[in-house]
Amino acid sequence: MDLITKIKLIFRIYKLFLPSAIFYYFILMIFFVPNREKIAEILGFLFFIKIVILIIAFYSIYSTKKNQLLYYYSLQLTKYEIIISVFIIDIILFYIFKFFLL
Amino acid sequence: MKLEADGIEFSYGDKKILHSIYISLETGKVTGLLGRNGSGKSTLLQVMYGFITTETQSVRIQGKKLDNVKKIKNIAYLPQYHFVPGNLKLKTILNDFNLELSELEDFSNQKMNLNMGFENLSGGQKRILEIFLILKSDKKFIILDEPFSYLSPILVDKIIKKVQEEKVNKAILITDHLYKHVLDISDELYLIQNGCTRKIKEKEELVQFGYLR
Repeated sequence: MDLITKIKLIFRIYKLFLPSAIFYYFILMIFFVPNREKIAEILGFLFFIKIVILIIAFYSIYSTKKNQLLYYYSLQLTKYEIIISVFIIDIILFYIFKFFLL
Repeated sequence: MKLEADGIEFSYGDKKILHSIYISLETGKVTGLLGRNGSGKSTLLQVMYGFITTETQSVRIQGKKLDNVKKIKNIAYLPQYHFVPGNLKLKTILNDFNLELSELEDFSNQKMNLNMGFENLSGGQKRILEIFLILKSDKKFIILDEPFSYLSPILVDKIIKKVQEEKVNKAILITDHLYKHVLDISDELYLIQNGCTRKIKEKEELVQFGYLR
């Protein structure tokens, strides 16, 4: 599988995790928009919490999507490629939200 | 090529589901796995595929032990449930697997629309598509968990024919409650009972071990 196909597939997988990213970085921030300092504080806290939650609970998050991930396994993507990519995209998204909202 | 699995132990709480397992798959052969409901067939297949991790297990290809990542790289697995994401269109799915619509139509014996979403297909169409994807996979070891579910007799015959074609270059493990089809198609047969596998040589042994009456 070439790199471009792999990247496209990884973005498709990330869509499975997107609702949680939107929940953490967007919906909650709407409630705190007037207070920028507060947003920064909450963002940092949420990001830390999210990473901790993802690390601790990755296997349970992952098992809820397991059936769908099997499709991507069949296309030669490994579990580690999926986990690492989800983290990387998550971090990129975090900085994008931070850049636009702060 | 030969894949062997043994030393697999798996428990749910205090209940030991798998403990004395040996099963081997070989290129050019279809291996059947029979067992009663709840005997641990699907669990065994998932351990072999690397979907379930157990404390003790050994899955080897040509004697070389595989970790879960290498298992997934070498084995294609059809689970009992649907594994294709519902939102994907047929066009995307075939494109992902480098397969042609004409091949699928020929295999499924029906016309299909490339723009149709997987979730809009009937239960039988979904199953036949998934079997097609797994059987046409370029992996050398194929595991099929209940491939005949939801399918009409004509489609079952098609699958049997396809399995016979594909086994030339692949090793195939199949389990299903439609045991007659499994008996017909298998070159080697195992029965799983009380967490152990037994190699079956004669059909009468299935009666002797309480799988058939």
